[in-house]
Amino acid sequence: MDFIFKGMAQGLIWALLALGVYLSYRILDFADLSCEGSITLGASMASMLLTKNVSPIIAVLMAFLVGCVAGAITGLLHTKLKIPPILSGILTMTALFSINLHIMGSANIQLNSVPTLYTQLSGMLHLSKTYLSLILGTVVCLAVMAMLYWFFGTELGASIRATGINENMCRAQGIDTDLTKIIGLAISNGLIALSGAFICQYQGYSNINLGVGAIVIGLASIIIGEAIFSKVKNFFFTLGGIVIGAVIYRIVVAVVLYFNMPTEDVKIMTAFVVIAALFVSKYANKIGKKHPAAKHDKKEEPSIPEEKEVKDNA
Amino acid sequence: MPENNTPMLSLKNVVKTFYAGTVNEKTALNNLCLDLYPGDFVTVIGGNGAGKSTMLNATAGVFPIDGGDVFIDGVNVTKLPEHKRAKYIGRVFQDPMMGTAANMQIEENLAIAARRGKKRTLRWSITQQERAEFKKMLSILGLGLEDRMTAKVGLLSGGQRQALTLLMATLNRPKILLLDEHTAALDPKTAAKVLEITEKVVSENKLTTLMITHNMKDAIKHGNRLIMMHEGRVVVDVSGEEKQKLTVEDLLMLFSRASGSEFASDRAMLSAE
Amino acid sequence: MKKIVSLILTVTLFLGAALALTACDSGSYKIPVVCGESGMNALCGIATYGVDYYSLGVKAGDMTADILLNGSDPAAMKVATDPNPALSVNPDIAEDIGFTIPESVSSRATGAQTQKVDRVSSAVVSSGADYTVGIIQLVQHVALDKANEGFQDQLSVRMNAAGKKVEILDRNANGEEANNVTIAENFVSQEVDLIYTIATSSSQAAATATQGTDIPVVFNAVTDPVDAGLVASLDAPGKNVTGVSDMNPVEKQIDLIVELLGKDDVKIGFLYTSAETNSVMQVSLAKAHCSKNNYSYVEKGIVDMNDIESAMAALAKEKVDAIYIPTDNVLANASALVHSINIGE
Repeated sequence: MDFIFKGMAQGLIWALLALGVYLSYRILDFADLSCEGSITLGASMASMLLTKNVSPIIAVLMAFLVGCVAGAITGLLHTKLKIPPILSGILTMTALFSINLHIMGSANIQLNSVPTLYTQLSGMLHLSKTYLSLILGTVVCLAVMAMLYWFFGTELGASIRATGINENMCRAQGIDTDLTKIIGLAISNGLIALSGAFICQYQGYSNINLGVGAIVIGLASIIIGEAIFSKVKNFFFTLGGIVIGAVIYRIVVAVVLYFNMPTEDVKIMTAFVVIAALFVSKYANKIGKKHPAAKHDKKEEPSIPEEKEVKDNA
Repeated sequence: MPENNTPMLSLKNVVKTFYAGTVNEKTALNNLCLDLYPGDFVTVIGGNGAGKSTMLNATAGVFPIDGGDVFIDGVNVTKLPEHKRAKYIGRVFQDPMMGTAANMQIEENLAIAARRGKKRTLRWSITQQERAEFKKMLSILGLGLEDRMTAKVGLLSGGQRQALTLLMATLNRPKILLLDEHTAALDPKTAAKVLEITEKVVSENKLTTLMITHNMKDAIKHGNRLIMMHEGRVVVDVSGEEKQKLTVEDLLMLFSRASGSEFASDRAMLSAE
Repeated sequence: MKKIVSLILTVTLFLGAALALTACDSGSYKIPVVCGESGMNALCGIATYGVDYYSLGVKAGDMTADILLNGSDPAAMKVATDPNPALSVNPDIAEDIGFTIPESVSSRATGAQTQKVDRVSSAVVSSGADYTVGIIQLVQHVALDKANEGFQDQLSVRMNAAGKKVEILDRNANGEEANNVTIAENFVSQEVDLIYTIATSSSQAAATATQGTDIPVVFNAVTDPVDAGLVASLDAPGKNVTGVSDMNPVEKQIDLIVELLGKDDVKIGFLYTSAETNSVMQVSLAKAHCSKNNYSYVEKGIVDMNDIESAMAALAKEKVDAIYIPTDNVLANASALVHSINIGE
C-alpha cells in the first residue's frame, strides 16, 4: 500500500537520527540529550540556506558541519568543565533553542517556493516523490552506514569505541579519552543535524518545534533494531538493523494513524512492537541453540567461569 | 645492586593527600622516595591504607600529585596526564575487567595496546601482519587464546583476561610495568599460572617491574627486591641475597621494628600460609 | 529566664515573617488584561474583540462545501477572515482586579456568544460516503478544538442540504511535526476528497503532501498564510490551498484598551510566546499601531508557561497600564494561570 512506502521514506530519513543517537548512546555510552536541539539545528541551517538560494547539497553539508560543532560543544562541556553527560546535553539543547530561532529569523520557514533536494531530483529524474524519497533515503543511509563502518574500523574509530567500553583501559593505553569523546559526539550530532536537513526539505517547512519527540523516535528505533538484529556480529549489519528499526517504527506510526486509531495510542503501539520484537528474538534464539548465547549487552558481566573452565586453562 | 646510574623510575618526595581540608583528610603518600633501577623486579607489600596502590596510580598519572616529582628514565613526567605517560608504562589492574575492553575482540584489544604511545590515525586498526604476531604471542601464554582471536574478551575467564592484560601491558616493551595485585581476584591455581606467566614475560623482556601483592610468600619468592610500605612511605627495602633468605616471620619483625607497630592485615596474615 | 526570652524571640520572628510576607504581597498586580482571542479572554481578560474559532470553523466548513459540492476552485477562493469580530466584556474578571468597565464599552458589548450550528449527525457516516474529508489538527487546545467542531457542524448541515453523506477522518498530531507529515501522507494515499488543517505547520505539511495531486486543502487557525507559503496572496491563493485566517483585529483591540483606560497616554505591556510566529506577527502589528498613535509600549516574550510569573512581574515593574496578550497557543492554555498570577493567588 502506498502509505506504507511513504512511511518507509520518512523512516529512512529518521534513520539518520537513530544512527546518530546510537553512536552517542550505545557506542560512546554517553547519554546525550541534545538531539532535539541538534535535529532542529540541522533543519534551521538547511532551510535558512535554501531560502538564500544555496544549492541543496551544500545546505545539507553545512547542516552536518554545524551539527558536529554542536556535538563538540557538548563534548567540551563534559570533558573540560567536568559537567555530567546528561546536563551537558541539556545545556547544549537549551542554548540551541535560541540559536535556532536566530538562524531561522522566526519560528517557521516555509520551503515551498525554493528548490529542495526533492523537487530538484524529482524534476531531473522524473520520479514521483515517494519513489524518489525511497531511493534517495536508501542511498544516503547506505552511504552513511558504509562510512561509519569504515571509520570505526580505523585506529581512531577503534579508540572511540574502546572509550565507550572502558575509559580507564583507554587512558592506560595512551588514548586521549577527552578527544575521542568530543569526536564521537561531533559525529553523532552531525548525523542528527543531517537528518533534520533532509526532514525539512521532505516536509516542505522547518519550524522550531521540529525536534519535539525526536529522542523518543531515536531510542524506539534503536530498541526495535537491536531487538530484531541482536544476533548480528558484523557492525555494518548492526547499523542496518538500526535503520530498519527506524523504518519499522515509522511504519507502525503510519498504520496507527491510518486505521483511525487515536494518535495517543502510537506510544502504546510502539511498546507492543518492541515487546513483540524482543519476544521473537528470544524465541528464535531458543530454537537454534542448545545453550543460550551470551548476552550482547556490554554492560553485562562477562561470564566468570566455574571451576572446570579454570582447570582447563590454568 | 644498581646496574647503571640512572634510575628507570624515580619518585622524589611525592606527596598525595585525599579529601584535603575535610574530616576525611588522608595523606596517602608522605614524602615518598623510591628509585627503581633498570631490570629491578620489586615486590611491594604493606597493610591496608599504606599507600601501595596510590603509589602506582601516582606513577601512572591517574591523578596529579600534591608535591614532589616523578621521573621515568630521566624524564620528568610529573605534569603529564595519564594518557601521555602511557607510552612509558604498562599496567595490570586488580580487577580483571579493568584492563581490557569487554565488548571488543581479543585481537582488537591487542591492536589498541600495540598502538600505545603512537598517534592514532585513520589507518585501518589492525593489519594481517599484526594478526600473525599476536597469534604467536598468545600461544606463548599457553591458554589457547590464539585460536579464539576474534572472540569477545567478555567471554574469557578472569585468569585469561589478566593474562591478556599482561600481554597488552608488555607488548611494546614498556619502561615500567606496574602490577597492582593483579592475581588477587583469581583463585589460587589461576593466580599461580598468571604469576608464572608474569615471571616469564618480565625476565624475557628484562622489564623494570613494580608488583603489589598481599601474599608475603609470593613477595619473597618473586623479584630481586622487596619493599614494605607504611603510612605513605617505604619502611623496609631488601634486595638480593638478603631478600632470598627472608621468611614471613622475618618480614613481620622487620615491619614492627621499622614502623613501631604491629603489621595488622588480615589478608596478608591469612595468605602467609 | 532563658526559656522566656527564646519564646519571645521566636514569636517576634514569626510575626515579623508574617508581616513581611503580607507587605511583600508578591504577585498581586491587578493589571487590566485584554487578549486577542475571546476564549482566552474569558479566563483572564476584561474585554476584547473576539475572533471566534467556532465561527471560523463554520466559515471553513462553508468553503469546503463549496469546493466539494459546487466545484469551486481553491486557487481563486479568497482567504477568509472574521469580518465582524464580537465585542465581549467580563465584569467578573474586572471585579477581581478592581477595575470598572466604562459604560460606553459595556453598552456595546454583544458578548462572545457563539451561534451554534446544529450538527446533522445523519450526514456524517463511516462508510458509503459520497465524500471523504481528512482533518489534521496540530494539538489539542480550546481554540483549535472549536475550529474543528464548527467545521464539522457546518459541513454536516451543508452536506445534508445537498442530500449527500460525508466521512470525516479526524486526526491529531499531538504536537509532533513528524505526525503532521505522516497523517497528511496517509490522507493522500487514501485519496481523500479534501484535507482540512488546523494550525500553520499542519497546513504546511498538507500543502507539501498534496503537491502533484489535486486534493484541495482548506486551512484554519493560520494567522499569516502568505508568510507560511500556503497561498500566493490573500486574494488569489493560486494553488490547491485556501482557507480561513484567524487574524484577530489587533488594531481594534489596542484601541479598545485605550478606550477602557479612558486616557491617551497609556503604556501597554505585550505578553506573548517568542517562538510562535503568529504571536510575533500580531505583536509587531500592535507595536506599529502604537507608534502611529503615540502609545508607549513594552514587550515581554516568554519561552513556556514557567516564564509567565517572571514576565508579569517585569511588566508590573515597568508600570504598564494594561497588558495585551495576542492569540497564542502557550498562553491560551495558561489563561487561567495568568489571571491567578494577576490577582495574586
